[in-house]
Amino acid sequence: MKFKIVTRNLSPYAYIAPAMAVFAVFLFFPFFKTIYLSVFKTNKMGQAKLFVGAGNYSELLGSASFFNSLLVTAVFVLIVVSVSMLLGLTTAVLCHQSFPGIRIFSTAYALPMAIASSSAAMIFKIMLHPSIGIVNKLLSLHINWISDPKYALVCVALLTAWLNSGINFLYFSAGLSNIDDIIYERASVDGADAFQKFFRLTLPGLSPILFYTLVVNIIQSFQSFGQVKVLTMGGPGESTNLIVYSIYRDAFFNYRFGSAAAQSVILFMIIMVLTLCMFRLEKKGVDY
Amino acid sequence: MANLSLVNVCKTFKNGQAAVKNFNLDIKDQEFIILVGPSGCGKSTTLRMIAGLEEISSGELWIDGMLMNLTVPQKRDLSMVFQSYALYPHLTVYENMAFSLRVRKIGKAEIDRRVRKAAEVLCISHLLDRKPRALSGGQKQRVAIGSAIVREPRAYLMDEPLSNLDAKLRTQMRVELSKIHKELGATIIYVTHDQVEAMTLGTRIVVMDSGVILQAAEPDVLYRNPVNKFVAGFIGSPSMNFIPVWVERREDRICVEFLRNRLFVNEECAQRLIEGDYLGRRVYLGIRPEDFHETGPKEQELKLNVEIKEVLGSEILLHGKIGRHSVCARLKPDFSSETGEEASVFADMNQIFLFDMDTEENILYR
Amino acid sequence: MESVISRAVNDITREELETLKRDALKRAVIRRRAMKLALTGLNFLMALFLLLPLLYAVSIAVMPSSELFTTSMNLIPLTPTLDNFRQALVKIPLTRFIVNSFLVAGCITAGQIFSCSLAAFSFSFLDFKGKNVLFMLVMATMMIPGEATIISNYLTVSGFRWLDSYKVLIIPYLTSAMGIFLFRQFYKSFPISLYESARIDGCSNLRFIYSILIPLTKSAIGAMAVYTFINAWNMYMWPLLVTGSDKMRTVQIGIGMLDSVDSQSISMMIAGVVMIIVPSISVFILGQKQLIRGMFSGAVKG
Repeated sequence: MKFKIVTRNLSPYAYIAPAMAVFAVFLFFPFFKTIYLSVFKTNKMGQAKLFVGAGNYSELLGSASFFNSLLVTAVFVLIVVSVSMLLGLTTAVLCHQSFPGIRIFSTAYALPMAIASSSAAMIFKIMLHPSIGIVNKLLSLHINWISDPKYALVCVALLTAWLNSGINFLYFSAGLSNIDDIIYERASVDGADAFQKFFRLTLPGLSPILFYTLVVNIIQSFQSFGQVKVLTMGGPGESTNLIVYSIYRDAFFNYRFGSAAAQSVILFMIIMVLTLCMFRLEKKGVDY
Repeated sequence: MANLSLVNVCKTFKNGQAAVKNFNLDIKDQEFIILVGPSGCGKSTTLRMIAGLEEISSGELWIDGMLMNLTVPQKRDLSMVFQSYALYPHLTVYENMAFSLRVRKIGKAEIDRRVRKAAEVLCISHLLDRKPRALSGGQKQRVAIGSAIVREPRAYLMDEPLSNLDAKLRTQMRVELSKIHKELGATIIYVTHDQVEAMTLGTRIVVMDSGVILQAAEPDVLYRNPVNKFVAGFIGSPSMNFIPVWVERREDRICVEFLRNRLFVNEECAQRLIEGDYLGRRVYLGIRPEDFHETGPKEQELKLNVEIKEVLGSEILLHGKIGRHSVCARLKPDFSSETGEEASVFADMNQIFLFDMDTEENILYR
Repeated sequence: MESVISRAVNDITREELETLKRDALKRAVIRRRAMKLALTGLNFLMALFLLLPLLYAVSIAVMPSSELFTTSMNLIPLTPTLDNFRQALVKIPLTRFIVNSFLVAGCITAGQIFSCSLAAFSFSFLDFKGKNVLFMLVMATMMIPGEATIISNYLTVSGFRWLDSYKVLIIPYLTSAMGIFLFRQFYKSFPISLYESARIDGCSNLRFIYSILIPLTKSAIGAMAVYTFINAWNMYMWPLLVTGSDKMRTVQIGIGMLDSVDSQSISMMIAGVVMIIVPSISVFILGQKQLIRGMFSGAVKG
């Protein structure tokens, strides 16, 4: 009897146990271990050897390379988020009214979300190839997109924007279908033309989902890795050395796990601050 | 303000279903036209065709002498109040009301003046900064009407605007709508399924069923002289009692008989029945509940088995059976009768209606 | 009726009016058709633009390398061949990689559905101490980017001596905060009385999940399955770090072995890429309806 009561009290925990165990070992523990590592110098095996306090951080903040990486990431995120959201919005609006073949088109617009960043990067590598690539051929240019520091970042960013546009299409489509059709009817009778309807009804109507999509997009683009690894390896120079790639390189090429851990902590802080800021802003701005 | 004219307007949906058939109606300036009928009778579709939200399959829509069939809604210069209010959820009450003026690029001061005036008329001045989701049903309804009256369009279209309100608010809003109609001198086309609303608001009522106009007339005409059994049953509350009866000649007079009851009809009825060759045939006898009296000549007496007695204060309603026919009678409150008892009521034979069994047309239609 | 019409038409006859009307109608029909055509055309161009990388990849994959290396336009292969696919399969153990990826992605999908639905069940129907704190904790993990913990995770699993095995690819991904959140959103739409009446009828928790919850949340499970499978199939950074041998590589890493820029291997590489994209795209196309219904219809409103 006693045993039964104990099991009943414990059973709620049993159901969350599998998930919690995985979280504990592969999220919570490494999260704190990363913070721990970030205040140590490590050996090649990644063992904490020498306590340096904020040493890793001050080194990073004094390093031009790290600032470059932050700057590159910022530019990258800006391009990716704006382009991919614009693509998602355009496709969702294009695909909102019904016309023959709409199902095929909506599948096409969402499709990029099913493609791996590394596979996509391989395709883009050929597309951007200076002599045989389709991009130069179509635009009749002779630009070495990937090995020119001027263009490399933009290329990686546009590739990422393309990959993210698929899920943005789905978000915006869902947002559009949440707007009641009847307000468009009223607007017609009220005398609004198509542009006025779009700017006065559609965009404001999308604002909650727009905001949510923005947050997701920013977080997601901060984490881009595969495309950089395959397409540019952070180069030329350090022009595409995004922060996640920089972490990867510091840890697994230079074996500076401490510094990489410190960068990870900074990455986490940036994302957290951005997310919190935006939720604060949302409470003020997007009132629906 | 405007004259509207619908000529042979038809609406057939893509699936081949005909929603409106040969709709002909002339609407004069300042009329308060009510389209009324059961749900699915095509009244809303007709309104939406006038607004331009629904395509006109065939026929002509004229507004102020201009053919408007193909004109887009925004160029028709009408305003519409929707059943679900259709307020813009992200705009304040003020902006909701100002919307139709803003898209027309009207000056700020003018917009402000008109919005505030409309808000005052509707007693919603204190709500101007709220968002629609913070409003009650009645308030939303006022905002919807307010959004319509800030402009002076050719005509106002209203699609069951009161159907989502509770009974008390509805009565109150009916009064206000009547007031607005008089003050603005507006042409209003109003859709409802509620015959009380239709009777109290309209200067003219169009009764529709299955996409067809049955009768278009002033409220009292509809009440006194319905074209057929459907209109007779639809107008008036509680609705008219219908009893199938035989038309016979007894004692050299014309009478209607059912079960063991016999009622002699007046001269005019008798003549119509003879002219229509109804002798020996069955017709529907129609009597409104209010046309039963507490006293009268013996030959007009009917025995009503009272099943339910509703005391409404100024009157009572008796629901019961005469024979096996359900009948409702509206009588003075001092009339003594109890549930389960038999009550004597007297039919006012000058107010009866007679309808053809097959066509359901009013035999006495003038 | 006639009054209004005659006022408008007193200077033209009825026949002229009819002609005018017919013309106007015809023009309106044409305008409407043109609008529809323009919309379709615009969509077509947009879709073409967005699918260009994929179409180009397919085109190159079936193109003999001799055709690839020209400076002239070569969008459409003149002599399509499947040679590139054959060579790709010979050059690297792609079949093995594909099997690995299917195994890993399949296990992760099944595992996530299992652990997330159980956890979400507990969070939405059961009462226990620390429930809210634990749920907040789970939600907070959504803010931790996986890349920020990847170093420690790598050190952990290498400490476990798990490197280069299936378990290292699968176990860290056996749950997800998003999955728990999604399922909980769905369960929240069921009244708690559903659970209570089942309990009164003598239904155990597991039985309740199995015979009531799962059938009712098929669309959520479908959405979750599609989303998780695609993400697991496309996983890159983690497998890159923890797998070393051909035996354990997943497709995304394995395909990198074809990555070099000499003429022969470009078309081979793209052929390989096409082969590994096909499964994830197929899953997506087959499950798109589920995905949209489960993930975007309910979740977006909240």
